[in-house]
Amino acid sequence: MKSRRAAPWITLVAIAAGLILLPLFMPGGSLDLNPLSGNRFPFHAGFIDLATTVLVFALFALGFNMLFGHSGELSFGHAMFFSIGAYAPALYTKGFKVDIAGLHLHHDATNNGFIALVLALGFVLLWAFLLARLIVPRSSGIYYSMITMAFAQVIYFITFRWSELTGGEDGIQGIARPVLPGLPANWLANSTHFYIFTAVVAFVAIAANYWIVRSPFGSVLHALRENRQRARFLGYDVNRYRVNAFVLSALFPAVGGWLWTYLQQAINPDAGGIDYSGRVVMMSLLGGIGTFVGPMIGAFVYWDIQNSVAQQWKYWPAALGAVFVVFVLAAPAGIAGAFVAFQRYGFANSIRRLFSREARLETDLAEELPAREGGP
Amino acid sequence: MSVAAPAASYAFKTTNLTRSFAGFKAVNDVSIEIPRGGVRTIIGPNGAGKTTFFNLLSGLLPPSNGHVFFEERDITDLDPYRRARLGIARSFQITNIFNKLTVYENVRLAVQANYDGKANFFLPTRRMGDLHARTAEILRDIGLFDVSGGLAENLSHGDQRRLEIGLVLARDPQVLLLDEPLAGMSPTETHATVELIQRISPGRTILLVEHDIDVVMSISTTITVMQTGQILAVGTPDEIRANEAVQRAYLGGLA
Repeated sequence: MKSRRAAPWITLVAIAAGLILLPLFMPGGSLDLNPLSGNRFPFHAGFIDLATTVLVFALFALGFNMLFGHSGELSFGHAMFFSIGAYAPALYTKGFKVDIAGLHLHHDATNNGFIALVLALGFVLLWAFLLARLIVPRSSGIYYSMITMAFAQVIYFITFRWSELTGGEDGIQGIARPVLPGLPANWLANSTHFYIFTAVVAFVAIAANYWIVRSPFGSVLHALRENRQRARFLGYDVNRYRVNAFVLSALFPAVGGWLWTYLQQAINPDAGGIDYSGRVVMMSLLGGIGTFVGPMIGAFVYWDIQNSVAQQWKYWPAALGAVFVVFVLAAPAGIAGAFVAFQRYGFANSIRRLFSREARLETDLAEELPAREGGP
Repeated sequence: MSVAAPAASYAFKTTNLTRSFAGFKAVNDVSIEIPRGGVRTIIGPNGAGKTTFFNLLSGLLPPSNGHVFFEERDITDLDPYRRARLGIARSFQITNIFNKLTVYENVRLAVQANYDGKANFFLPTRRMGDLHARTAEILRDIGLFDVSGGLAENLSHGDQRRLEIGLVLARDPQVLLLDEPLAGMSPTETHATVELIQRISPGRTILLVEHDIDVVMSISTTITVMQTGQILAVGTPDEIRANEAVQRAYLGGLA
């Protein structure tokens, strides 16, 4: 009676397995089972920072997808939350001294990663809430995308221009990684350790996201995506849901930004640029918009292509563009969507559907029949 | 007039209700009381303003002038979702459902709307009382229980129209506004839907815009005839049939 979905724990176990195995699938990644290598973790750590990068962007895409994939609203400025989530901990950790409007603001360098996280989330929460209250009642569709982009540019130029606080174009360097309670002070300096730390944080965030999109709240988001007017006439306070979806979707890029700062131990204005806002759209579409794991797969594929091609060919974005075009034309539902199609229509039929309208009609009909059986 | 304030005798009341589109008055200075209970049908030629009138009552459009009252309460400035919470539900001329969701999810979302603002939506639905039982009940009521696992977009046209009535019923509304619920239906589907409307009408007020004149004559308590944005006549089916102005304007060759 209810739709076919995997049990929650299966999805979460699969995601945990994915997080553990991810480093092996990065270029240069391999198992290191030689007991004499002195490596306490069974990975070759050459590209493990790239795996960490994938997770950071997976979180970014996860938040973006909650808005675009689940509630159907395209924000073209989600990098602003990534950027705020990155700068807040960077400034908190490095300290700053600024004079603004006669006030002398001063903060000494500190090193508490969890307060940094609270700050990242807090600033993003506040900014996203104010922004959503401003734009949600006034815009939708393309205007919504344009306004989010405009506000992202505001954040971008603040980080770019306010050199005194943000270091301007050069950004902030030399940010110490946090110290975890009960572990040696430089434990997180090791790439593998930092990957483990990131994977644990990512798992918690992914599970939280999964909980949200499957909750009754998530169902309402799907209703908004499908038919906002119908939802409104059923008695849903549509704008309240749109504001909440916007704010919640901003928190995941904030967590991503927080990790990004510590991963690179540096941050610059690019993190909030149009390029990053666009990248997350690309990752999500590539992986499969609206599916749960799709955007995370997209982040993986994006970085894998970038890194394997970039070493051979300096025009690597062209390769990425080609892959993107192929997906948009042939598999608009993305990689995850293609797997759903294989499961639903079988592999051969899915390929036939790409090329023949008749095959599409035929397989749609076969799909429809079970639903009609035993009807009135 | 009794001394004590009685419960409103009407479902809707409008005063000088007007809606213009670029100077054209689609609904022109309509002051009318629609009594509680029964099937109240609005008929009229195309462009008479029936759907605009519906849109003003349900809040899809703000009026250019005038007021709308629902049971003594001025609802002129109320958002549609608030009107829905007061017990006003509507279906649309063009089927308005959640196409890419299953039939079950469609109805469940409609039932869940009753809990908006009352229950914590981040917790599982099992805290929302009889959500699933109520969903199943409505699915049986509209005859779509057996196909509830399929996507709404795969239903036949008639089943989709009935699904929309199901969505509208989920709040157990006092007033239903049904905009051409029979449009495009086969005779069998029409029959089933008319039966459904009659079954749900006791204890409710049903406002109907409909073109199928045989159905209108057989199920209406009263008929309101609209023409060029105004009310031409109100009466029982027999009165309307006998009304000369209506015959001239509308029924003409049909009756």
